[in-house]
Amino acid sequence: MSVHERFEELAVGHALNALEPEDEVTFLTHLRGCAACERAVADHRESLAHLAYATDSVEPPAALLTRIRAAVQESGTAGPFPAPVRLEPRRQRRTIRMTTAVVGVAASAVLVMALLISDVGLHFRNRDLQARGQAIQSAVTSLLSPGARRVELSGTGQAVAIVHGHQVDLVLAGLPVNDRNSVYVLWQQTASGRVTAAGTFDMHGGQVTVIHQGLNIGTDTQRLLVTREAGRTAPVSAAGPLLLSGTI
Amino acid sequence: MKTAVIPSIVRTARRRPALGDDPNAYPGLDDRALIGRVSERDPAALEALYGRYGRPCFSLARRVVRDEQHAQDVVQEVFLTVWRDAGRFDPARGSFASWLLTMTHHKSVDRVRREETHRKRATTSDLLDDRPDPGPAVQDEAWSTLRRERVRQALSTLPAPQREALALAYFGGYTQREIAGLTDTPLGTVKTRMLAGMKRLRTSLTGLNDGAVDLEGTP
Repeated sequence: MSVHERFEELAVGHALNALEPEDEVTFLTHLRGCAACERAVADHRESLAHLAYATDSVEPPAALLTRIRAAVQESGTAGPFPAPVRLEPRRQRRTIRMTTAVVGVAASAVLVMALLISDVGLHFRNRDLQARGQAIQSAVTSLLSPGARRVELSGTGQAVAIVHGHQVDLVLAGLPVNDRNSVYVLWQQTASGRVTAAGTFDMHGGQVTVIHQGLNIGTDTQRLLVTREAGRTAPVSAAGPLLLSGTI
Repeated sequence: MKTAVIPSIVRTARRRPALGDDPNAYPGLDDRALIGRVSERDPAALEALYGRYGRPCFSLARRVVRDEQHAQDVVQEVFLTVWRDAGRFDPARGSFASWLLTMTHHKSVDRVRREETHRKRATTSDLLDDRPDPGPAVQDEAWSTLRRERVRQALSTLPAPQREALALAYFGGYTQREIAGLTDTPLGTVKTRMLAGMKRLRTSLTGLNDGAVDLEGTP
């Protein structure tokens, strides 16, 4: 099979969202500079859109439009929202509606924060603990702040990205601690398929690792991916296995 | 340019009076103009788009996630994304319908992969079920029925293994490796079948649009 045929096959799997993680990384890396594959993906998506009309046509319930209107109002773009200093009833209701996975991770983060604080008797033992406590606190505050968007990343382990503006906070669990010769990289993929590094981070020991600084994405980012790369800096393109991914 | 496969969808979608769609709201605006207004924070434009596409989005999400409530969650998430990130739509990369339905499909698949319980209920026979719709709304919508039957006809012309692979991926949310396991087929063969099936499907669907006179962007 030629290289071209291989990428033709991957383009179909990509359009169907059916690629295995390693194939997805391979294809996305290739897609950056291949106009033919970009066109192929676009064509496949146009064809697949037809399949949506092959399904039994079902009228959505009237309540759905009401929900969408309410979500738009709550999105923070319909008017000014209060600063996230404290929880207000409306914010609490939104928190309750979060999925179980997000609640689990957020709760874990809060739990770890509480454990950290209680463990040190409100006096952090060292700068590392202090920094981690502050990171967790900041991430949880971000998660609950108006305008923040949560993106669930699935794959190896579990993670939630909290996107607010250009900044991304990551709450991660289940990824192994990396050594000094490797680094985790958060990649951002745009609608055009371009993949660039958003930043690097390390996994520390413990239940949950929170990354609060150094991860920044563009406004046109559509997907987040996490790989583990050799060395201490992000390479030009992803070479390590895809560990986590999620659509914004 | 092969993106002409979508226009008939757009045309027929506009003919449907839909929930929340004020028939007098933006009657002369095409999808691109509407999404432009959405990016300028015009909620009426968002509702007009919902009126055009809420039903196919909901139908697709419901088919993939196989749960009414989850389908509503997906569609809400999709239209909220449209509201927040209308600027991401790039007409040079395809039609609005394709962008929206791709987003609906991906979010549905992401959800069904998280909801294994629902996914286990989706058998191969379920996914390939092509019984005609019994719903009264469908009976009233000749355009909708005709389009659906034509797409189903295009699917039916595919060799069974190709149709099965595409249906399991698109409607079931299965990955290629999972499909290989489900169908007891080598992974490479699954990939080849998908590519061959997509090529055939594209040819068939392009042919179906030969009679289309209304391009997207022309209300």
